Amino acid sequence: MSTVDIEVGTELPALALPLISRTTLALYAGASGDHNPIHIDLDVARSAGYDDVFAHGMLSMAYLGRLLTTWVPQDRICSFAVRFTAVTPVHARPTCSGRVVTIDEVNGERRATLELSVELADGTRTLIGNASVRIR
Amino acid sequence: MRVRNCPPGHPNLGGPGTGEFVAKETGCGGAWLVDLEVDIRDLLHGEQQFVYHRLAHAGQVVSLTPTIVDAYSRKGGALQFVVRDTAVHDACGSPIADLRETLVVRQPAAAT
Repeated sequence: MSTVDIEVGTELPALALPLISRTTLALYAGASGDHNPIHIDLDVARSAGYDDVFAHGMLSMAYLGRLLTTWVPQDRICSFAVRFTAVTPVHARPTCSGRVVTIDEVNGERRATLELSVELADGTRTLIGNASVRIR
Repeated sequence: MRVRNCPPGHPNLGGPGTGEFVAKETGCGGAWLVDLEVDIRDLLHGEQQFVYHRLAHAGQVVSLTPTIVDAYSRKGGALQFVVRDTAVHDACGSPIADLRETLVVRQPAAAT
């Protein structure tokens, strides 16, 4: 999208992800360097009182990063912040969404502030956040 | 100050927006949590922030400076929070990004 078209209320094209499998979690553990066994080893998850393994929070943030960089080039992103509000169970199907809430002039540049969220198919919101993006 | 060699790497091959987190995980590891006697099974990620100064790219050598900036407990001690900032610089000392993470440590024994 040309950033000329961006205005308050503009919605980013939603990003629907495939099901998060155990393989996804194993690969993300290796890719991210987060080897906490709670995400990949059912025995460890059960020993800590969980029914099953659950996804790394940063996997969802990485998906949200993909939503952003599908929309604007990486070097336009000034900041990116999230709060993890619920765990993402294995086999969940997250969808990332975002919306422009304000446009401001900062240091002579136009910057859009986006509200971001990740929701599962059952409506659980697992992550909320915001990003500041340079636009022209 | 001595000018350090700052290899250019591959500036056209930018890293993902959460790539600095990966650098932190792989570079700093979890030994500091062991030092704090945190059972890694009780660890949850509460918040994560990135402020970007310049694009990180393939072939760069980066340095990470993590600092614990806050620690507090909630729910009568059942949840403990640790806030850690990590500054990321390139080999010349130019800032790449500032990270802030809030980690939540469940304390099941305290929740009585």
